[in-house]
Amino acid sequence: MTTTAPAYTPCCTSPIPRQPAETVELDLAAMLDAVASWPSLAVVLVVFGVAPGLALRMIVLIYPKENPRRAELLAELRVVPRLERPLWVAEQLEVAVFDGTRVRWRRRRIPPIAVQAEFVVHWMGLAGVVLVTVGALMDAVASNEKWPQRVLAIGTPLLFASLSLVGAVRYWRKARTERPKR
Amino acid sequence: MYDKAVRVTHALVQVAMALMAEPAEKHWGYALSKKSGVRSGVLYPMLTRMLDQGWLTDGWEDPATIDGRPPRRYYELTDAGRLALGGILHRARSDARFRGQTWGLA
Repeated sequence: MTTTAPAYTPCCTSPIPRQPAETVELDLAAMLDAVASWPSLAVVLVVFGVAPGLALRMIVLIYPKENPRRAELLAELRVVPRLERPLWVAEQLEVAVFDGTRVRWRRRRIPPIAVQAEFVVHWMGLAGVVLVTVGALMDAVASNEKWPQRVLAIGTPLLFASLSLVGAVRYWRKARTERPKR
Repeated sequence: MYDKAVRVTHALVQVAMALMAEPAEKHWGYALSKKSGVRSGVLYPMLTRMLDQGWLTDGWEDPATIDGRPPRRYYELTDAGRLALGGILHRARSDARFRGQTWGLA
């Protein structure tokens, strides 16, 4: 049996027929109309005119009130070319978020240890004793039992709870009203 | 004095060069950013650190000399700052990381 080799057929004898390109008609007049329309003008005015200033005024609020960077950034905006302003303001958001919060964190209000100790001794202890006594007396009257045991049973958790509560509230109020010196 | 604990970065070297190009002049934030090529997100925290370390002093434009805009904040090199930044630039010149740096006059 004789085998015959298959006839050689070149793969690319003829170029692949190309599809006719889709023709896109550029309507320049319509494009120009779109660019020069009132809404486009309004967008440009907002993005390059009003928005950067407004956004920056909000961004600088991240800094503490006395921080000079607030005024500095607002003044610097005036010398930044209008085309660069949107991006420049966006950069300031990044600066303010990291730098401003860091400054605020550093200046957070923590009363000195002596003030905290004063709260514990004078106010938490006094309030705790008052609450425990009143609570135990009311309970003793209501249950008609021996009041020293009732004082110990009910008064101890009440004492700790009142200590924590009063201390926390006093500390919070003091921390809000006392600012550290610059 | 130059603090060896300061991490010498490309941004710091760029800013140091921009400051030391005119060591006796006033420098403004935006202009300094343009001159050094360091974006403001990096520049302003760096300026704050330099102020804290006493390398820079700051001040505000005289409102009488400007019109129609708020006064800007400027920065000036102190003697300690000139020493420190000079030291940083000197160190950077011999640092392999800054081999491709164009040093200019600084």
